[in-house]
Amino acid sequence: MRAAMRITAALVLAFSFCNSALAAEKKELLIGLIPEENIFRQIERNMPLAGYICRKTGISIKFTILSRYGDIIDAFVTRDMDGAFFGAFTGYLAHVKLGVVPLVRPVGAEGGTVAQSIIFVRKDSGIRDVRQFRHKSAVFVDKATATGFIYLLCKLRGIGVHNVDGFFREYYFTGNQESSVYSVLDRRADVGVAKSRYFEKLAAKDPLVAEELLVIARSEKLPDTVLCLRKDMDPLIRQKLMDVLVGMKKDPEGQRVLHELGYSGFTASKVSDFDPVAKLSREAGIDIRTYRYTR
Amino acid sequence: MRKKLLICFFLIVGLLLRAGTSKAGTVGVIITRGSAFYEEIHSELAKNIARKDGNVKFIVQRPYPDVVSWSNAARKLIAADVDAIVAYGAAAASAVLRERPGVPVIYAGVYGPAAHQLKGRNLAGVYSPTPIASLLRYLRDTRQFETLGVIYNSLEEDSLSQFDELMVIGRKYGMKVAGINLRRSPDIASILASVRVDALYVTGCATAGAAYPTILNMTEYRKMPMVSLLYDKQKRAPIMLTPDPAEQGAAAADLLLKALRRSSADGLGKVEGRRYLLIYNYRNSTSVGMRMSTGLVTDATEVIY
Repeated sequence: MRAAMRITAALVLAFSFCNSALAAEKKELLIGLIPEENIFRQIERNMPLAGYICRKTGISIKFTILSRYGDIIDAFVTRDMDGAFFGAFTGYLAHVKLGVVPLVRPVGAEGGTVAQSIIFVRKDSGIRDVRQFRHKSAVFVDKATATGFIYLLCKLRGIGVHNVDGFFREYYFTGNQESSVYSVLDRRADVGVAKSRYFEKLAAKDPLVAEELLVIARSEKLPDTVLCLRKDMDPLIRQKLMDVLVGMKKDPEGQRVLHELGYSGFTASKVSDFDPVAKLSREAGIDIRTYRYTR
Repeated sequence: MRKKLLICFFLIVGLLLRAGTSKAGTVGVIITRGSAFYEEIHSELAKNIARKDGNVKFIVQRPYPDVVSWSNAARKLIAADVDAIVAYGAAAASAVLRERPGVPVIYAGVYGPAAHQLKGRNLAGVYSPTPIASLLRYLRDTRQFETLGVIYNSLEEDSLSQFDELMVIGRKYGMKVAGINLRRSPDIASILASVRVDALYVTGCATAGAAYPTILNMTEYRKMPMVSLLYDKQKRAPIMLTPDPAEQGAAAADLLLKALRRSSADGLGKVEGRRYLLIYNYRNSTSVGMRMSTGLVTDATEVIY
């Protein structure tokens, strides 16, 4: 049922901005989004951004939400995407495999452009150390996420475990950060992994998350979301997008859109932003060129 | 003479074996009247037993949800000289344990915290730590409210334990929780007519199960958001969360067969059920003024449009 809904959502929930007459005259860009949170909520959050870019540049933006993190790499080619808001790992993966070029990174409301992966458990579970994970159940976000899976692989390698199969009693992938947190809160899993930003956001609005869950490990800082564009993108369009996104924080209308997104602005991004995730991948024993990132 | 003795010996052994086989297959069952959840678990248990061992005979008691009825049911089964007793729900299991039956006792359909209170020898069972906070979270997602009415039965340990937990959670969320202690099913109409609450949370009690059509009709009439831990085959509640009765029944059947073979449930322990049914009846939820919950749409095991 869930899988069917996600597939349907991925097919149906492509949405575009700027009126069709304008889109016909000018360039329309197809930009992919990874399903970090509930896809319906993600649509609501991103709609104003598409509208803003169109009003400011005349470039029509069509967003498409992928059903799964790993899909964004394959879909980038098959759907002929112009760019995508990648997560740290998928961005690095796409840069290595497809040569995409980073453009901007969103700056969080509190000013940060980095994310951390956290491993959490229920306080009453008695689990306090990675060694205690053996034969427990675990929940991850997706195989193609640094914050929602690969950090845990690093921690397991640190205690000599090279394969999650057989180590955990059972494990599953939720597909988004929020579900990972609630799976542990609701005792559907003993151990969870997620991006710290989402955990903290949920903890702020739901007292049970703050009171009943315990973060027992935290990764080094990794790049958060990165907007990358295809390598052969017209430099003029690239520059237009860069200017409008970086300049949003100075424009009152832009500030309103940023507020909707939960960001304070966008900042320019460069390839070296992926260095921490490259290091993390190496530590997790992942060969980025051969890693099977789909489930 | 020797030949006669041998014939007698084999006859006696044969009779003993025959008696042993039939005795080993008699199982007493207590299903509290009004609970569709317990009925469904038992139906699954019986199906699993039939598949694995056709010799088991069930003697089923359906007591009303009160202490005297549960005790009487347990005593009748002990007097019937059953080889094991299956009790659905913590209250029925407690009643059996109080009677010290001397045969294996298997429980199922028990709420996690209530299962931890069940102690005794020759005891094993299946429980589920149903995430009752998640149901409250979904309710909050669909409608703002200040006072939550919680229907429970203080005589049913599972339901009482759920109510206690909801009181604590409600306090953390800053909402008022009004307990509606439903000891008798027929009282529901007068209680709901007078109670002043903004939303209703039905815990897993048999008294509410017996009064379920009235609860559904009245909440719909009053446009009152409602969520339920009660299993309902027709899935009428706007949001329903229950342990999966198929999983409970299958696990209980395994325990029962092992206990019958060994004539003891000692060492079989507790099995945690991990599967749940989360049914989102979108059609009925909008008719009582609940907003669509996008989180629920993606989390639900079934959405009814």
